Amino acid sequence: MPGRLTILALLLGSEVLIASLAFDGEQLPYGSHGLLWVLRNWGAWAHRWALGAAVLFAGFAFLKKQTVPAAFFGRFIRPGWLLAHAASLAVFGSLTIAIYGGRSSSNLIVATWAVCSLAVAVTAGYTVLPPTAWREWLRRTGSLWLLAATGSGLACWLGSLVRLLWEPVTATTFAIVKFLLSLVVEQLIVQPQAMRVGTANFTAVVSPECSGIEGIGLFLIFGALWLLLFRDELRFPHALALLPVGILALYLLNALRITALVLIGDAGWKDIAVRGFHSQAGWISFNCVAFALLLGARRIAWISAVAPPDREAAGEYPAAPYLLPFLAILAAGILSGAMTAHFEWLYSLRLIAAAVALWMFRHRYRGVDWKFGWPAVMAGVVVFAVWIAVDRLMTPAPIATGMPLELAQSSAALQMAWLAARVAGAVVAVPIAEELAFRGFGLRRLIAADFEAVSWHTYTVVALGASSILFGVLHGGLWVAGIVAGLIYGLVMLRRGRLGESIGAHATTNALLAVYVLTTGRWDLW
Amino acid sequence: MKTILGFALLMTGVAGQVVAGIPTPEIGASTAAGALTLLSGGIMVLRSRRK
Repeated sequence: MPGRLTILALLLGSEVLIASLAFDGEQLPYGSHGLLWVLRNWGAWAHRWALGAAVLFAGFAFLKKQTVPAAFFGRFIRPGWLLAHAASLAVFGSLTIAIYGGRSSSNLIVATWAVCSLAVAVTAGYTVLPPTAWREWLRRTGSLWLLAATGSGLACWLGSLVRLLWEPVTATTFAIVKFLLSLVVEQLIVQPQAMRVGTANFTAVVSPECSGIEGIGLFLIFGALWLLLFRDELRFPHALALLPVGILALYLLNALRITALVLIGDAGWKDIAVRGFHSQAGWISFNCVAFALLLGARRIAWISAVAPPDREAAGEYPAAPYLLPFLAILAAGILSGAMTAHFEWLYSLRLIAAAVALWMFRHRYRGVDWKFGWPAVMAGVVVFAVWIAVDRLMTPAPIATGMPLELAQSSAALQMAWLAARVAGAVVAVPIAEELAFRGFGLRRLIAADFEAVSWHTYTVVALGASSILFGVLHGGLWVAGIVAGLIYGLVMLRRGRLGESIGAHATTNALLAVYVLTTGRWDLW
Repeated sequence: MKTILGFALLMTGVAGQVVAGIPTPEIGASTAAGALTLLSGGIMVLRSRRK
């Protein structure tokens, strides 16, 4: 089971990530004054500085393990402070929605919001350890807190200097895209002043936001964390070469992405180019480069401090049968999204990907009991009721958009085929894949590293809660319903000790949801 | 040397989160969540290898 600081990092990290993705300073009114002006112009910087200081402090303190009190590696959490954390988070969340939704802008509300954010952090910290342990850690690390705060400020300032690079980096990206297009396009349209390049049918503007700098920033975060966490498996300074190599690869792939976008638009698929491909291709590149870094770090002798895995003697990957069906659905969804304009015609790719992954590992599921009974079905009905209730709370006046126009205007045969694939995916593939991932692997892995040895009846409150929170977060706006669903599916599995129960419950929920969507026209729930 | 390297790597990561904070309208929360989940899951599979 992970130590207390890992629990704290997961708890706060997931909350910060959700808030960062859901809310943006740009949502605040431009002509704000008072504390709202401060929040709009300095909120993001304060957030980055605080996050950076926490990462520097914790990371560097753990590099010197002797400064960390033994209590940090214990397992007990304090439920009273966890409740206080949940309460402060609820207030903070409500105030955030009010401020960023434009419903409140008074100095008192913003000040209360700031105090609540501190309360969220403090109660999270006290959930895992009492104040005395935190004071002891600060005492042992001396002036590290000051060094971390200063270092974070310096890093944020250095990072902001990247804006000086926008113009030359954008110009270079533009030049590379122009060169690549000139290899395949006869009559290229080039407007250097506007950074516009393309064909007579379709042109693109290479703006600073498309220069590749954001991907480079993400790769710096990922690469630095990877090198730090697994430094014992790497040779230094050789392993540092992975950073510039990865950055260069991402930069070139970004130029290739823009080139492909122009060619897709020129071929007549303008909406796909501008919508699906434009949003997904960057992430496809990032994942490919990140995985290449992971594999290269392991297999290149000049970089790796451990022997490369021997193909014949290579140990199996115990997590693969449980995670790969779910990851296959995700990957297929990203690829399908990259080829989507307004309507995901290629949804069946997800179904096929899941089926292939499950078939590949079919011999590894001997320890899984797929049976389920009526309690599982009843649990699925309860989850469906909760799902609809939460939706009604969050969307008091829902709009039934009905069948998407592209599908409605297609032939009856195509409609039936798409709907069959959609329902099969929702009722069969997704429940099996998600339950294998979150209950089969996630819940048990949070109990022990050797998760296969964990009985299907065994649980801890933290494992059940954390796996349910992760499950809920992945369900977007209805994350509250998702967390409740995760808890119920987990309890149903634990009651009889078989994964089939949670799969049955999940399939029942999704089947009822499919009927609901098709009868009410609430396609937004899909 | 290791200490300096460790601190430098941490600062690189922190600087990276500033660079990555440049707003890019077309990258929505859902695409980011899906892609990062895929990356995280892949890492978990690779790191689960029996030694």
